[in-house]
Amino acid sequence: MSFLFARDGHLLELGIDGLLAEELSAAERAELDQHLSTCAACQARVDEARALMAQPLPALASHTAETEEIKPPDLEQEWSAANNNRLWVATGVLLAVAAALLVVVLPSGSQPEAFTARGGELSLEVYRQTAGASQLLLDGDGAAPGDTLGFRVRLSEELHFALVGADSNDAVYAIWPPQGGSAAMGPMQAPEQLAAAIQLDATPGIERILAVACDAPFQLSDEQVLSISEAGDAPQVQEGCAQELVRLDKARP
Amino acid sequence: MPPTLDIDQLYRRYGPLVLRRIRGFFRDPAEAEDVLQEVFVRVMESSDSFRGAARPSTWLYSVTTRHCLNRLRDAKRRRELLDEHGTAMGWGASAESAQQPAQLLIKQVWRELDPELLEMAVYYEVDGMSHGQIAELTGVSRRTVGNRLAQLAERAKDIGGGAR
Repeated sequence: MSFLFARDGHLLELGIDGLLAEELSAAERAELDQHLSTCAACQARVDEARALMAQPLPALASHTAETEEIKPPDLEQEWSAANNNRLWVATGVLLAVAAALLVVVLPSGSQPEAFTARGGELSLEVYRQTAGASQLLLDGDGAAPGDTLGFRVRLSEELHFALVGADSNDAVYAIWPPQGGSAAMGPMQAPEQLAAAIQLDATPGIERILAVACDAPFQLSDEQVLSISEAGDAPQVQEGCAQELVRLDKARP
Repeated sequence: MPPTLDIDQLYRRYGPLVLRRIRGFFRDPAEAEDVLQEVFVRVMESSDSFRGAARPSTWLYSVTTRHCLNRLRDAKRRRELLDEHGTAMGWGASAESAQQPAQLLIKQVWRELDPELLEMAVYYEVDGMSHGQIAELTGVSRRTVGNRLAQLAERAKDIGGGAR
């Protein structure tokens, strides 16, 4: 399938991208050149794109951040931290498209960054919400007191899904579905925002966020959630489940 | 494709293309650069699917589009966008396709569109792609694309828009 031309016969943006990235075959390039020779509008778009390409790019900050921070937190140290008061909320229904985010209050403290892990059928993104922006958090990142965390989930097919958390005081709480248990969701081609969020308190330690997706309904026990090992091995819920774990270090800015 | 994902190389070569796409969604240069960072974080996360992609630029285009739409889907941002930009998600649509009516249509109904249909709608109405191109980009069948876009056209009739 060629991505050179749009339905109206003019160049697709992807066609221009292919040209600028020098990815086109000789035949495609000839076709494109022929069109450009007769279409001033498309030639102007190509010229504009070339000018933009010539501008300097900002440094790839997220890459630097990620490669540095992908090291897991020192769980041994943090595991038995202090106590956390967890208030949580949760809520609503899926999909950011419509819903106002309900926030929750949890405990914790530190400073976050990056994002998550991903499995074959399930991907989870944890991000810090700030006014008008969101910042993805990676497993092993820090988190700050009062941080509000939001979540995006993608499921490759309809699965039973649960998102739970455990604070540094080993209190386990449900994030999605808010009432606990699991809920049928998916498929989602792109990650969708859950209408639930949590807010971290200032208690130091590791906040563990675990997403599980299974073929059949399931109920996570506190013991299963708390059995997450120091190495980050998530509990075996049942056969055929995908799971993603994100640990946030509330003591590490 | 390289056997392993060299993110620096990828960024150097394709970052400007990605930024160009992002600027179609986010006109503020600072915000566009923030989104660029986010997209490349996502790229690193999705390196498996990247390795299977036919052309990096095509793969990055869809990743970028999805990411931008997800970001815009945030209620607050969406509201700001609609307030700020009014009529247009005015990115470089193909020269004579995808003018106001289609963009307006998407703007009017996109609250109601699921992510998959919204993405298809952008490819179809704004970028001017064919069903086959959209099918390849989104990984669904042409028939599915046709059916989904028919839903959009129905919706357009309801609101007096002009889906083609």
